[in-house]
Amino acid sequence: MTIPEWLKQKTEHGAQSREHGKAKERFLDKTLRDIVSFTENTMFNETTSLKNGFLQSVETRLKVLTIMFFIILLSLQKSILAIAVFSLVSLALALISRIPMLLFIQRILPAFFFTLLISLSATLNVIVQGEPFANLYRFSKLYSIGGLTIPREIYITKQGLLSSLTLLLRVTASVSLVFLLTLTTPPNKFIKAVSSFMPGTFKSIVSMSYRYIFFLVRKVEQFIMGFKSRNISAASYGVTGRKWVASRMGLLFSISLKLSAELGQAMESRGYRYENFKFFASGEPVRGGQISDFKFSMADITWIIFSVIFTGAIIWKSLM
Amino acid sequence: MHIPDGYLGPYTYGGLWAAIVPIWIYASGKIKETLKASQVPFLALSAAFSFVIMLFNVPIPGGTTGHATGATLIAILIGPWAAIIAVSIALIIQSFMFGDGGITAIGANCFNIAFADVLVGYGIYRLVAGVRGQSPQATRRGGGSGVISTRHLIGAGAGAYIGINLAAFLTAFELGIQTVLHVGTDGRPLYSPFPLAVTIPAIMIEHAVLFGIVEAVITIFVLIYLRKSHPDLIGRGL
Repeated sequence: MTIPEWLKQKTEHGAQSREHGKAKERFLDKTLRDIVSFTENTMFNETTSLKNGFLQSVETRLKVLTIMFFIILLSLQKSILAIAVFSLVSLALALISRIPMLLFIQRILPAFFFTLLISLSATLNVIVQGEPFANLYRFSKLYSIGGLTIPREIYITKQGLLSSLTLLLRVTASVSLVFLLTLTTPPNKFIKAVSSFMPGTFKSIVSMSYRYIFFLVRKVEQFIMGFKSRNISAASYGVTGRKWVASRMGLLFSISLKLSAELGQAMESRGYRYENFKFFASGEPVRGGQISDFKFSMADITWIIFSVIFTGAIIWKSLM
Repeated sequence: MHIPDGYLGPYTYGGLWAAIVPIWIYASGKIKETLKASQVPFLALSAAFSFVIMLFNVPIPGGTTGHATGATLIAILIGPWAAIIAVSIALIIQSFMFGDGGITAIGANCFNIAFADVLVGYGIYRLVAGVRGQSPQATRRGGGSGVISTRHLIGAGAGAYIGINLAAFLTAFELGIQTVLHVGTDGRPLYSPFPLAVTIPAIMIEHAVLFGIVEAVITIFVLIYLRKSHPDLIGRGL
């Protein structure tokens, strides 16, 4: 059996440069990759949050409140040693919470590498001036770019090195603490706990919004899969690609509005009273979500004792 | 453009938290004036919409891709005060649930994107569209005619471009002043180590020549799509 001649002929689209083909793949596949990673991360959070670890047993609102406090405490630290202690503590907490170390590190790595990349330039005297630590290069004359004058000698400064290390450790520790929260708390409980600190209607809006994000993300995935299955050429890149993205955003908006109207009707038919809604008031009690429901467990008491000792030690070290 | 934790010192992030809370209260009050039965799910879905459109990768000339914030677009579609709340909620969920943007920096990110970008972008849209005296509802309907004219599209594009560039400038400014506000006794910057002379050109150039244009083009294209396919949805906001 021979391949017919018409099938062997290259179409106009097929003859387009490889670059355009790659670019087309890039914008669709990048969005798909983002969606997959978004869904995967949420699923992993769900899995690790159901493990029988230490932080999983701590009451969600208490955990959210204390870890947020730790993040603020961390942001006030000036000593590199104190900041490093936060990283070590979050690693230890990840271990006793049975979070797979590889997964934990994988989550932190993007923020770590991004900060490492940009903080490397801050080690140079061009950015942070100070005592020379290591000489790198010597120009024959002075150069100026915009408002920045490039000195004749380029070297790593002691202050720049310490500043970069401070930033890198601070960002890594902060991100570790945030991921400790997300990896040890089921997403629905987490969003409920976060919204429980918000006033009035915000509680309902945040938790409802979080739920429907997944619905809309699924729609975007369907748009892309449909688009990819209908197109084999690279012509969809460029203006066409931008128009397609814009049209899907518009369609998504129409879906959101339709859904919100249906939701409003469904809520009304179930006796939901909007008149009780106030943006900055306590609002109607949410079953199982109020502070009055709180009962201390052994894990909660252990966590409170640890938090008090840790905070005390950090403050004592700062005052020394 | 989302500032992570660790880059801003307490004076800056504390100050911006203090600035954004009254804005949220005022915006909530403005929404409450027109509170209708469908408003809670409407705001929730608008926040979800705001979150999801930031996921889209938009093709940029040269083969790379970028994201649009959609701040001005959402303001035009649902009204500026509802947009402030919707975009803020999207940013808060991003920061808490997905570590995208810092928790201490929520005030700063909301101030830059959900407030400055939204209000300035929307203000410029109204100014260029020449509908200063009309209500936001009428503006969203295209001067009350139910149609978005070319002038409205130009206004939307200009608003989106200037709005995102203002947000980028504020981000650059907030990062750049850390070297003045927070320096250790040994002379090392304690937070973002880059001075204004570095942060402003580094962040502004890419927004002025690339991301601002993408934001403007996407805003215009979405409005053209809605004008053609769902004209009934224009002006259905608050």
